[in-house]
Amino acid sequence: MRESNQKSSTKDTRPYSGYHNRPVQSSDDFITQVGPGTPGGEYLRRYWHPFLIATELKDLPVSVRLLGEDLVVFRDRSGSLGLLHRHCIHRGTSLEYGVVADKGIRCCYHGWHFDVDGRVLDTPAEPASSKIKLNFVQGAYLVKEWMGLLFAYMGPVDEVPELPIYDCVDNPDDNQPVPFRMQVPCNWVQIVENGADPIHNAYLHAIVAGQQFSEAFKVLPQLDFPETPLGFLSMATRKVGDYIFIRASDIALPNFGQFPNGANRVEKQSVGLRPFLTRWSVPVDDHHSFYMGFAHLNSYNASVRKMSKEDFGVDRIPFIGQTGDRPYVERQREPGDYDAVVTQGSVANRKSEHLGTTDKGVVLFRRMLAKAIRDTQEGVQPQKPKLYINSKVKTYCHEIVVRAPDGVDFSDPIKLAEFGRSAALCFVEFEHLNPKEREESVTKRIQEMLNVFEMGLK
Amino acid sequence: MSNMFLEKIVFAGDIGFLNGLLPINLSDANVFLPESVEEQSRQIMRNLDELLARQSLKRDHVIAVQVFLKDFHRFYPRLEAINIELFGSKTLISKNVVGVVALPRDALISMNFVIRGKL
Repeated sequence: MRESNQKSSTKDTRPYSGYHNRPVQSSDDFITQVGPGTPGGEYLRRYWHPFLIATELKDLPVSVRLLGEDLVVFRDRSGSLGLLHRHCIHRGTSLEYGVVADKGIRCCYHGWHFDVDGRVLDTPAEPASSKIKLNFVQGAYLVKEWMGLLFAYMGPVDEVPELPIYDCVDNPDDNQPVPFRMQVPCNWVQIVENGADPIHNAYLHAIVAGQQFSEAFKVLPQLDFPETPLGFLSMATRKVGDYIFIRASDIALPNFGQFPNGANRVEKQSVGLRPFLTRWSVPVDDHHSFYMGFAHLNSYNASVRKMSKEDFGVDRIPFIGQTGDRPYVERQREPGDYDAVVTQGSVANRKSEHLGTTDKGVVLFRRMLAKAIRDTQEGVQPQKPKLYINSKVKTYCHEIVVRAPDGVDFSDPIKLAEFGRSAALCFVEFEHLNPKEREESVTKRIQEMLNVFEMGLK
Repeated sequence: MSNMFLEKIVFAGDIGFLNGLLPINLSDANVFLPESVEEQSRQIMRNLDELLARQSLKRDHVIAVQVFLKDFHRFYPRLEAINIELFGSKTLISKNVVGVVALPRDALISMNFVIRGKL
């Protein structure tokens, strides 16, 4: 979009027309702001968000910033987790200097003592008749621990949703989830958009910026974004040699995503629910985020990428270009996700974008997000991950490699895309099954679909 | 890529000095540096082993190490976590770690070693 567009709709496409085509400066506050009282912030406060690796919290309180709020997290001596507004309600001293007690935490300044739920247990310098502790509370939020991560719920206390327990953690049998937390100096929406943009895997990770993913990613894919009960799949279907390769990532509102590894060499058939990373894009404030979650170490992911649990942690995952810790020149020579996403700006200037056909997933996410925020403003409960009674939240992230049947022309992009979508949605069709049965049923159904193609019925 | 540093142990009598050892690939300086401070530390130790081996020496000959670290508060705990892996638990090495603003090649870490020529 050009600056002159504000006055005229005439496009200026002359060479060297930078003067006439300067970007319009604007921000999308509605979807990007995360602070208290903002539309986006109110929406985000209806969900649980991870914010720390559990092992980062030891005997001392840790100051954290989340959704634009300054907080302090601690584990009291009885083992209960507390997440309190950082500044003591008495005179504002930071509770990161508080003394962790058997129950709750005591401010270092005048000894005010708070339980993990924020109730004032003691104001020792006040007279015994003081009613302070009955009339005030320190702001507190719920904290839960799951899969080595601490999650916070910062919304209305009478609307607490269940902490979603996803089905991805114990499949395959040898799966070992390992937590990680990356600090990214940009708005959280950009990180989600990167996941909803599967064509960047071909360019940033294979063709333009270096061979970061396998050679198979150089093949330009057919893109699709079919909806799932969780959100949608950000998927790419490729014809690689004799095989059809489908890579489908989960995108779920507001900030959950799952992604297969990028190392599949597409040399043998496989069908499976195989996320490599389960990640949340967690808003620290409008301009900073955590890219955090857990990696899935298992025989499938190890077969294509050698890893150990020591490779993951704070600002650490074993894949190039995920931090700003590389030399500047090397980042220029082989940029990664961090460089692509952070350099859009601490809040990307979306008004100056020129979106193309491959940005469909990005647009879909923005529309879904904007609608969810509007719904929240109007008092409608935003959609939560669908919980199954006595079960876990179903996820759909998968990889499929199948041999293309002889005589079927899958170089036809329409046919390839049609097969890719149908195959991917088999994981939705069989979601009621446990992961192993689900994979078996999907494999069988895909073979039936291929037979239909082979017989020329499609 | 030019490198003003000589990756070589310089001896003064029985005492050798290996200064400014970076996490580069000794056989090809154009190879990118590893991304994490842990991997950069391991690369420096691999380089140390290679340079010691050229003099028929081993890690046991190292008597002191000085570590230069960018972004000290963020990286020092991570370096501490792999201290034993890097330097062993029994070896008596005189160590210190210094925080610095910048290092050649934009490295996150660099090390100086003092080595004795004979055990």
